Amino acid sequence: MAAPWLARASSQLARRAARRLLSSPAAAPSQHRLCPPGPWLLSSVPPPAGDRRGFCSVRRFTGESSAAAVAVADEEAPENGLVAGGGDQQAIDFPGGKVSFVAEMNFLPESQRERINCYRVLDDDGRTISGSIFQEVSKELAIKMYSEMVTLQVMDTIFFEAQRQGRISFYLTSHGEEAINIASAAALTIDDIVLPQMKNVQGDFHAALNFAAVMEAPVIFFCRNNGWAISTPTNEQFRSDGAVIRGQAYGMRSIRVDGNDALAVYSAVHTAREMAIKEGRPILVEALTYRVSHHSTSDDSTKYRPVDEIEHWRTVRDPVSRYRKWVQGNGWWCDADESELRNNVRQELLKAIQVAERMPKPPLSELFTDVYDEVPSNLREQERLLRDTIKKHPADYPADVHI
Amino acid sequence: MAAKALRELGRIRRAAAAAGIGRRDFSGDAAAAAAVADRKGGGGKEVNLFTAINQALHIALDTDPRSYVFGEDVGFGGVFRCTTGLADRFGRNRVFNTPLCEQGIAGFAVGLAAMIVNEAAKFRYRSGNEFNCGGLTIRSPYGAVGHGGHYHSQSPEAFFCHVPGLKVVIPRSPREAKGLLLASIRDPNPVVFFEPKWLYRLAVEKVPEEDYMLPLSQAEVIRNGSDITLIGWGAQLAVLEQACEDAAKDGISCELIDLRTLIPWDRETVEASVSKTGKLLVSHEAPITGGFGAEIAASITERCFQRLEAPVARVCGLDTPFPLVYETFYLPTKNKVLDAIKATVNY
Repeated sequence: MAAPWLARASSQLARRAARRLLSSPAAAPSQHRLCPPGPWLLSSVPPPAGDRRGFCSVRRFTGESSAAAVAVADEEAPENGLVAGGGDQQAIDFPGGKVSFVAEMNFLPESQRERINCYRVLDDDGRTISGSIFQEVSKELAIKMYSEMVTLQVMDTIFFEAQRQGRISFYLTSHGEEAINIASAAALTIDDIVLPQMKNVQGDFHAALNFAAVMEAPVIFFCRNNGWAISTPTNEQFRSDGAVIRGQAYGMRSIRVDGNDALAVYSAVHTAREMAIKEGRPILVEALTYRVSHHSTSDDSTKYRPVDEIEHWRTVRDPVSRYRKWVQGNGWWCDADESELRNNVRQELLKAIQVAERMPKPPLSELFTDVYDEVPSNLREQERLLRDTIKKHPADYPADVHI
Repeated sequence: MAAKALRELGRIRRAAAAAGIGRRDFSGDAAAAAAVADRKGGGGKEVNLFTAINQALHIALDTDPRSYVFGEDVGFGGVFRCTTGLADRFGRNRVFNTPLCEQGIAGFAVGLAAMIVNEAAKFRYRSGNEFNCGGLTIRSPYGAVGHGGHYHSQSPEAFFCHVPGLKVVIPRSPREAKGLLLASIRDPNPVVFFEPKWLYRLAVEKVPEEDYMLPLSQAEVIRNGSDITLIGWGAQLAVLEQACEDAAKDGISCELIDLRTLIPWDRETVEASVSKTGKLLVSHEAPITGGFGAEIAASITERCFQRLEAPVARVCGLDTPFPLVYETFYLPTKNKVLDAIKATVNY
C-alpha cells in the first residue's frame, strides 16, 4: 500500500533537499531570492497590497508569543548585519510595516495560552448577563425572530419525517442551530447578498479570506462551528483555536460568538455589517454551536458520538428555549402564543406539502435546457432520440413527468 | 403529531400514485447483477458489495503491515460502511480520519502536498522511475443510485482515463470487487477504484473469504454470443445482462464483456469478440460525448474496420448534468440498449 514507497520517497526527498542546501555555494541563496518559486524553505514573502492596517495585529500576536520562548538565542549571534547588536529597538522597515529585531530566538507558540473568548448576551436561563453590550431589538423584531426559529424547528421535524417516508430524497435539519440561521439573517437587510454554503474548512475558504482581506471587500464570513463534519470531530479537522483565529492570520477582524444565543449572534452580525460597510473591510464571525441532528438523512450520528452529548445540547443548550425565556421575560410572549404558533406553522407546512405534491413535475424538455444558454445540437439530437424511445416504451417512464 | 399527520398525507398520495409507474426497478437489476455473478459459481458466504470491499480492506491491512486506510469518515466505518471494524482491529495509526479536504487526502497519500493528476500519476515518469505511487489506491463511490441528484450520481471515469500513469478499475459485483480491489492495492501503479454506489447493498453473491486477486487489464467475457458484442463496466453490466436475456428471446445471440479495467484496457479480448460478431455496442452511465465508450468505438473501428458490419453503437448517459427528477430518462436503460442491439444487428 502507500507505505513502502512513502517512507522511502519522503526521506530520500528530504535528504536530497538537505544536500542541495548544504552544498550550495554562497551565491545560491541570493539566486533563490531572485526566483520566488524556489525551494519551499527559501521562498520570499510578497509584500501585501494596500495600506498597513493589518500590521498591528501581527505585532500583538508576536508580543504574546515572546512569553513562550522555546530556546535562548545563541550568545554568538552571527554578524550578518541583520540582527540587532544588543540594542532592543533596532528595527527594519519591511513591506507591511516596521519589524523589530530581538536577540532571543522565539518561536511563536502553536496556540495562545487561553482560547479566544466567546461573546454572549444571554445566560443559559435566557437572562441578559450583567454588563453585556448588545444591539437593541424591538418587540416586533424579537417576536419575528422567535417565530422564525420555531418555524424552522417544526419544518425540520416534518421534513425529516417526510424523508423517512420516502416522500423527499434528502434533507438536512438545523436542530440545535436555529439561532444561527435566524438571528444572523435578521441582522442583514434584503439588499445584502447571502451566499450560503454547506462546506467544511477546505482550501477555498483560505483563498476567500485572503482575497477579501487584500481587496478590502465589505463581506462577512460567517462560519458556523458545530463540532462535526459528518463523523469527523473538529480535533481531527484542525488544531487551531477554531476558525476565528484565522482572521488575524489573514489580517482581518474577527469575533467568536455563542451560536446558541440569538441575541449575541444578532448583535455580532449587526455590528460586523456596520464595520464592513462603513470601513470597507471583511469580518470573520465564528459561531460556536453543536450539530444536534444527524449530518443528513443519510447519516446515523449515534454510531460515532455519545448519545449523552447529543442529549445535553438538545436540552440544556437549546437555543430556541433559551431565547424564548428572554422574549417571555420581557412580557412579549406567553404559553398560549406558543401553542398557537406551533399549531399554525404545522398546519401551514402540511398544507404546503400537499400543494407541492400536487404540483406537476417539470416537463421533459427541461432536462435539456439550462445546460448552456442555448440548447446545442448534440442535446437536441439526444432529446429527439429520447422521445422516440419513450414512444416505444412508455411503460418504462414515470407517468407524472409531462412528455 | 406532525409525523402522524404526514403519514396520513402519505397514504393519500401513495394511493393516488399507485396507478403510475415506479422508479427504476432496482430489485430486477439486482437480480440480474446476482445472475451475472452466479454463473461463476464458487464458495464463500453470500455478501453484498460493501461487505466484499470491507473484506478486501481487512485482508490488505492484515497482509501488509505498511498499508493504511485514510479518508473522510473511514474511522467509524464510513458513510457506506466499507471500512467497518478496520480502526478497531488495526488501530488509529493505520486507519484514520483525515480533515475534510480532498486535496489534502490525495496529497498525503503521495507524500507531498499534491494531487492525483499531477503528482500521483506522473511521479514515476517525472522521476525516471526513481519514485512511484504504486500501492496508492483511491477508492471512490460513483454512479446512479436512484436519488443522488447532480452531485452524488456522477460517473467521472473518463476524466481519470485521460491521465497517463493512472489505472482505472470498476467492479461489477461483490466477488469482483474484492479480487480487483486487492489486485489494485498491490499493483505497482496508482489506481482509481470506482465502486458502483447502486450495488453497495443490492448486489449480493457468494464471495470467497480468503485472500484472492483478479487480474487487472483483463476483460472478462461473461456471456458468449455470436451476433453482437456488448461492452460495459460496473453497475451497467446488470442492465446489459437483462438486455441480453430479452434479445435472446428474439433470437439474437449477444456476447457480453465486462471491461473491468478501463485503462490500460484489454483491446485484444474486445477485438477478438468483435472479429467474431462483426458488431459492437458500448454502454455506460457517463455522458456519451467524450465518454470512455468513444475511445473504445474509435479504437475498435481502427482495428476491425474490415470486419465491422454496422457502426459501433453507444448507449450512454445524456450530455446533461446528472438529473434528479429525470434520472430514469437520463440512464441507458435496458430497452434503450435492446433497441440499439436490434438496430445494429439489423443494420
